This record gives sequence, C-alpha cells and structure tokens, in this order.
Amino acid sequence: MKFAVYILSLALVVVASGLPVAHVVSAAAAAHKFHTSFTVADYNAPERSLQITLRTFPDDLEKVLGRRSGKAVRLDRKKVTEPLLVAYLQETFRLKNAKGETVKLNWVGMDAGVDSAWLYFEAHLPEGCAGVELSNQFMFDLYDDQINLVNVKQGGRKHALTFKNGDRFQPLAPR
Amino acid sequence: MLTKITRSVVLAVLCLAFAPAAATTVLSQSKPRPSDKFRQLEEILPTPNEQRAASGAPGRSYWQQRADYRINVELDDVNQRVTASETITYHNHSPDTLSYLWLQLDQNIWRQDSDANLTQTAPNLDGRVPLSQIENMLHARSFEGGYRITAVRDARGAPLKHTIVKTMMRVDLSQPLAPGASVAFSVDWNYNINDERKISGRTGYEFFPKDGNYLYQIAQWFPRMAAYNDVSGWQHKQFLGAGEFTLEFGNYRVSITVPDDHVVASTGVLQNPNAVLTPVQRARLEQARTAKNPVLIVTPAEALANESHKPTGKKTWVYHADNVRDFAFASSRKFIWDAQGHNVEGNRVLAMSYYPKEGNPLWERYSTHAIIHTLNVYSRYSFTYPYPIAISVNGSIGGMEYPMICFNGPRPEEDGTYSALVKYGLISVIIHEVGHNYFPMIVNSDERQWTWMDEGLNSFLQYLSEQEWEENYPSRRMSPQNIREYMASADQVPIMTNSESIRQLGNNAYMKPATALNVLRETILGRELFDFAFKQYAQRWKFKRPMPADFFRTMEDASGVDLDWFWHGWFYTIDHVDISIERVRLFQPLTGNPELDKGALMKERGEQPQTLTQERNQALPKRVDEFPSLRDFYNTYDALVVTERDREQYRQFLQTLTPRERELLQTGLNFYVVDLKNIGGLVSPVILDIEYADGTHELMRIPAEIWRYNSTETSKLIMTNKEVRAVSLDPRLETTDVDIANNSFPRRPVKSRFQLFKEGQGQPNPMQLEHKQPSPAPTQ
Ligand SMILES: [Zn+2]
Repeated sequence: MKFAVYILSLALVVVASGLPVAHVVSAAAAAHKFHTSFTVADYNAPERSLQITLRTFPDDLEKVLGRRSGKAVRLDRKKVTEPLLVAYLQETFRLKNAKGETVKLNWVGMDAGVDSAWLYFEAHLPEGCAGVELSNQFMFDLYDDQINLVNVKQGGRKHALTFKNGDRFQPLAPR
Repeated sequence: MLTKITRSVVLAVLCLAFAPAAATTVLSQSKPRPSDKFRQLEEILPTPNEQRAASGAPGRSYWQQRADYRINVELDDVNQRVTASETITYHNHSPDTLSYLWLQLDQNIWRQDSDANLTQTAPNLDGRVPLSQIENMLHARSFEGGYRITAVRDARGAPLKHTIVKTMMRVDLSQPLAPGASVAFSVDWNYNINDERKISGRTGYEFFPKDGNYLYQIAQWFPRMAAYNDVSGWQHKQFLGAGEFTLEFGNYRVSITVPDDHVVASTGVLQNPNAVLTPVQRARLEQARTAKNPVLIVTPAEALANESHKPTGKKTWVYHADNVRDFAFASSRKFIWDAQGHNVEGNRVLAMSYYPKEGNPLWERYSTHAIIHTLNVYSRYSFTYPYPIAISVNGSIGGMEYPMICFNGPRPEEDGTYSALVKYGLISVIIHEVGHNYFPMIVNSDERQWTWMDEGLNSFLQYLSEQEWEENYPSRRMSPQNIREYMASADQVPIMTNSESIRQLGNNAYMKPATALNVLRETILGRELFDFAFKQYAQRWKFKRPMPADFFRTMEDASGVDLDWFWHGWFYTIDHVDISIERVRLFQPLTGNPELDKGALMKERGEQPQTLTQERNQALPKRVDEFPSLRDFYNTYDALVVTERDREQYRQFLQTLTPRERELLQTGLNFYVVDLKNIGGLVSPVILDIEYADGTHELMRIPAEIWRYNSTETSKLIMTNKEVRAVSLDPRLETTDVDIANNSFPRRPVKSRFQLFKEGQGQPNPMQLEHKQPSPAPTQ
C-alpha cells in the first residue's frame, strides 16, 4: 500500500519536473497560519522510557485524520479517532534506535481542548537516548510549511530540534 | 526550609550601615559584558521628519495619495468568469511629479508562470499522498488564471502605454502628473475565477455538487492602484502570496451585474434597493434597522426555493462606499440573509450575515451577534466604527477581511451538530475578520511589508473581544503560556521581518506580537496607561498609513514610559524570557546589643557541623590535659561570651542614638537578597511571590529596569521582620517565562504534563471538547 503510493509520488515528480507547475497558493493569511507542533520528549531514566507530549492544533488534527480516513473525524469521538491517531503517529513520528531498528511508540492518551490537543505516548529506550534518531513528519502531508519543534530533555541536558518539510532523521541527543 | 537559604550575619552596625559580609564578596577579574538591552532605539528607527513626527504622530506635512474608482462588473455564473471595466481618478497629493503610475494585478499570482508558482517549493510527497491533493495539483496546473487586460485608455479614450511586470502594471502617462493634480484613466479586463476548494487564496468560488449552485466570494478582482508613499515611494513589491496588500483610500461606485436570482453582499451601501430587492425584503430590512435581534431578509425556506431556481435574466446591484481602501463582494442564489441595526457609539451600523443553508444552525445564531460584539469592543479600544455597514459571509474561504465585509469558513456538520471547536472557531474568526476593519482597513498599515502591524494588533484586540464574549472564552493561542515553546525554539526570525520572509507566520506575526502587547498591557504599563496609549495610536493613524516606528513612538509618547528595551527585545530579537532564582541569601544586622548579637553568632557557630577530623580527634589525649600548667587566659577565652565591657560599650552606644534610631535597631529586621539570572536574554519585569514562615504571602512587582546595569545577573533585597520560607517568580504565568522549573527557591519539582496525565490527575481542560447537540436556535 505504502509502496504503491510512493511509486505514484515519484511518477508525479518526474512528470512535473521541467513544467511550470501551478500550485495551490498557500491559504489565505487569515486567522489560521499556525502550522506548528510542539513536542517535549523527556527521558525518564528509572523507567527507561522516553515520555513524549506533542501539542498540536485540534482543527489540523481533525483535518489530517479526516483526509486519510476519507470521513469526517472529530476528536471528541475518541473511540473512533484514537486508532486513526495512533496509526498516524506511528507513521509520522519515527524513532530509530542505535542499531537502526524502529522503536515502537506506546500510546498513553490524548487531552483535547478547543485551543490545543496534547498527545501522550512513550518509547521504551533501555539504552537511553544515545544514538537514537527521530524523524518528525507530523502534519507534513497537510501543510508544506509545517514546522515541528521538539525539545529533548535527558538528565539535566536539553536539546532542541526543528523539523521542516524535507528533513529526515536527526539525532535525539547531540553527539 | 530556611536551611537552604544562605545565612550571613552582617558584622558592622554603627551608623546603621551594613558592611558586606566578607565571605560573600567575590572579586571579579574579568570585565562585565556591557548591557545593550536598554540602548535607545533612535539609531535603528528612521529619523523623524515632516511626514512622521518624533512623537509618533503624523507630521505637519503628512500626505497620502487618493484613488477613486467607478467600476462596472459582470459575474458569469456559467463559466465562472469576471468581466469588468473601471475608471480610476488618481489624486497626486505627494510633493513629487509622477510620469507613470503602478497598478497591482493580484490575479496574476495564478498565471502559470507567476513567481508564486515558480518559487513554490516542492510539496511533501512522502508517505501517503491523498488523491484529493493530487487532483488539486493537476487542477492548478490546468487553471488558466490571471488578468487579461483588454484596454488601458486615458480620459479621452486614447490608448495608454502599459507594461505588465508579473503582479504589477506600469501605466505611462502622456503628461507628467504634477503635485496636487489628478488624472483619470480606464482599464478593461476579465479573468477566470479560481475554484477556492482546489486553489485557495482569499477569493474564489465554491461549488455545491448536491444542488449544482455556486457561491462567489470576489476580491482582488480589479486592477488597484499601488500605494505611493513617503517611505517606499511606489510600494510595488511583487505579490507572492503571503504579504497582503498596501492600498490607498478612495470613494467607490460599483455596479455588479449578476443572474437575477442571486443575492449580493458587498462593501458599501446599496444604492438601488427598489430595483433589486422585493417589497417584502425592503420591509424586513427596514424592520431590521431597529430590531433587538437579527431579522431574516431572505429566510432559509426562501433560500432553499432559490436553490432549484433558474435565472430568467440579470440584475445590477449598485453600491457606493466612501473612504475605503479596497472593495469586495459575494454573490449566490443560495444565500440566507439576516440583518440587525446597531448604534456603535452614536454611529448607526447595519450588521448583516449571508450564508448558505450549510452554515446553519451556527450562522443564524452567532454571526450577526459576533459582528456587533466586535464593533462594540474594538470601538472602545480604538475609535468609533466609521462605516454604515458590517458584513460577514460564509463560503469556502477560511477567513479573510475587506472593508465592511469579510469571508468566514466554519460550518457545522451535515447533520447540524457541531463540536465546540467549530463553534468557537466560527465566533473567533468572525471577530478577527470584522476586527480587521480597524487594522488595516482604517489604520492603513503596509501589509506587504509588515504583517504584524495588522495581524498582531488585530489578534490582540480579538483576544480582548473574545474574553468579553463569555467567561473563560477558549481564546486560541493568545495567552502568555502558549507562546513559550515557540519563543524557546531556535528556528525563528524577529517580528521585524518582511512579510514574505517570515518563518512560522502564525507564531511570528499573529501570536508573538499579540502576546507582547498583552504583556505590555497587563504586566508592564498596566491597563489604564496602555489603553490610553493604544487608543492614541489608533486615533492618530486612522485613515492614514503608519509605519512601525510610529507605533513604537506613540506608545512611548502617550504612556510616558521608556519602552525601547521592550520593542528591542520583543520585536528586533528572538530572545525569550527565562529568569532563574539562583539563590536567596539572608543577612541579619547586629543590633549592637551584645546579648543578642553574640548570642546569634554563638548559635550560628553551634550550628556549624563538626568535621569528621574534629570528631575523630576528640578522643585523643591532649597535652594540656596532662600538664594543666600549660593553660592560660586563651584556653578559656571565648570571644562570643558577653563581657561587662561589652555591656558598657552598648550603653554608651545607645546614648549616641536618636529615639528613632534606637527603635530601628530593635525591629529585628531580616535582609534577604534574591539573586536572579537572566538565561533567556529577553528583559522582563520580575514578579516575586514571597512566602513567609507564618503562611502569609507578599507580591513584589519589579519593573524590567532592574536589569539596566546588568542584563544577565541582578539581585533584589527584601527587608522584613518575618522569616521567609520560599520565593517564587512569576507565580501567575504572566511574563512568558519558558522554564518554570527554575522559578522557585528552594526549588520545587515541577511535574510535567505527561506525568500529570499518566498519573490520571490530568486536569480536565475547562475547554474540554464535549459533544453536544445544539439547542434549538432562538425564534425570530
Ligand atoms: Zn488576520
């Protein structure tokens, strides 16, 4: 499924190159140009777990899940929405351990208000953050200008990451 | 807890002065870094001149151009096209002679070869690309957008030489236009309207497949005069999509020809109601002017009947608008229309909403109320709404503002239910877009250059208006806590960045300046001073074109407070607020009374821990014990034991003091020094909550100038006869301090949101989404 779409994307790029590609001009600068997510990833040493809180905007979240599932999605209908959300996170918020293996995310829950939605999940990292890499593609499929800010805290140390469209894996902790 | 507060006993007391405790004095060898944070802004701001005064007000020779328009436009509902012609009368109020004029051709952003298209970076094609996105991209590639200019003529009908430069057009005048002179010329054009659901951008049509009808929201639809001003000359920076518009004021007379079953909503006052409205509609409109609630001019049942209607001909709706900088309209046979007259500080305004049935039940209940509410609140903080009309229209455009009219997107679901998110999203966007009438439609800032001057100021007033809609209104992204993550992040540009180069537009140009003004109002100036100064700015610059310096200068000029450090930190840098309480030190003065002073020193000595070596050495046999003759005076002398000589000295000392000095000496004051460190770089007022051992609290609000000698480290003295248990910084989260873990002394562990949630103590957000069936709308 993913593979097929990837081929389709590639084909599109080939067709498009060399042509003046008219594009969706970015949306009106009205009240909604907040294409940013904020993540705090806190390494909890006793639990050997990276505890992640991702703050995003609930309308964006409804929009992106709705586009993927092909039906209207509402965050206040958690039973239907959570599985979609978990699948979306596994796909867009990707952690690789030092051996290059994908680290599974464990869903903790969600707190959704009108202003913000907070997503809580954990990743078990028995070896700590060293060598672990993150690719945060959250909402990149909705907005070309989406920016994902991530603050990693391990021990007393803080490290800030920024993900823009096109960015791939970045080390969680400075080498 | 006091054990964590460093205690030093001050050693000298004579003259009631305190010598620094030697132990805490550290001689620094390196020179301190000079503090630049309070440097005055004059060298950065443009030099005041006759157009723009040093006070921030328009100067005595302030001037601006003027452009009046007469336009005939026809909307083609079959091919979704606009065909129109205009006569522009341009008045040169500048001191300069102009040999050519520049016009804006905004529709050209949709030409296939436009800079906006060519410079668009690749979309993200990783992972799953929804078919709808691919379809939109294909549609965009086949859309024949952009103006076709069919004629440019002078007042006598002779062709004028014109040159199209992307989204701008230069018109060469046959005679140079002298200062004070006017020139009239005409332009004919047509263009294809964009399908706004596929190619979005502040204007376009929405197609409703279920009933086969179109809803048009038409803007940037006529060649408009580029602004010519004292700062930029011609402001003809190309339109790339983000930097909005820079326009001149003028009077408009616009005739809009549409299918005869359409209802038109427009900037301006309808001039020919008898020709386009039914007698029933005119009667309802009359009734609406004095109604206490919105009155339906076109009812839902009538609009539904119109949907299956076919037009039999055309109708021309004629509008007139005075002193506006732009003109927009909407048209559809699907419109439900309600109206309510309202007196805004003495000005009679007709507030009106136009929406398809898909907007109900939300729109009939909230739209017109939200318009009126906005006019009330914004007028109070700036100036009385000067126009006779204020309109909100529902269509596919998420939210976009024009003079007297704005387009707003939110709708309920098909079954008529809606989440709180959609409800408050609708009210907020209407407040925001109606609010834009003040900034930038009337306070006519240069949007192409400075997005924050309208979006930042407008978002700030939007927040104030929302908080007057209902208690604890879930205002989006405007509270000081919500900016913290952005402020702490690295990927930023200063607010003072050109509109087209801004990264993270929403955070940078909307939220950060709005939060800055909130902090300025609540924490730095206080409401009274801020509101006076802000209103001065709005009143000075209404129907004029302010620049950033005019805002900065007016706020200082009217408040009487030097804010250069604030503008510098918040608008010219990407610093953030992070202040840490490094430690709290306790100094206790000697009273001079040997009983008390020596007692305190002895107590302190007694509290010193015995070292391990001392402890182990204690049991060893000592030579002076074996040979007592070795003992003399010094083996028993204790400097801290009170002697008769001490008492006599104290009696003599007391006699030298006045009664007031004697009283001061008895008070037993504690002197606490709170050491503060500025980690984030942004200078901020310091708000300290002092908690005493007896459980009482004291709040100290210290202006930001405490940092003026040293912007990285400073300290504050607290004098009290009570014992301090703890000190905390910014207890009510008003300064945007990004790290609250270092805001208390002794340090208190701060539980993360994650931990709170996981422990199940996650406080349910008061704005928690609840799925509720809307209660029935009030009957008319
Ligand atoms: Zn806006």
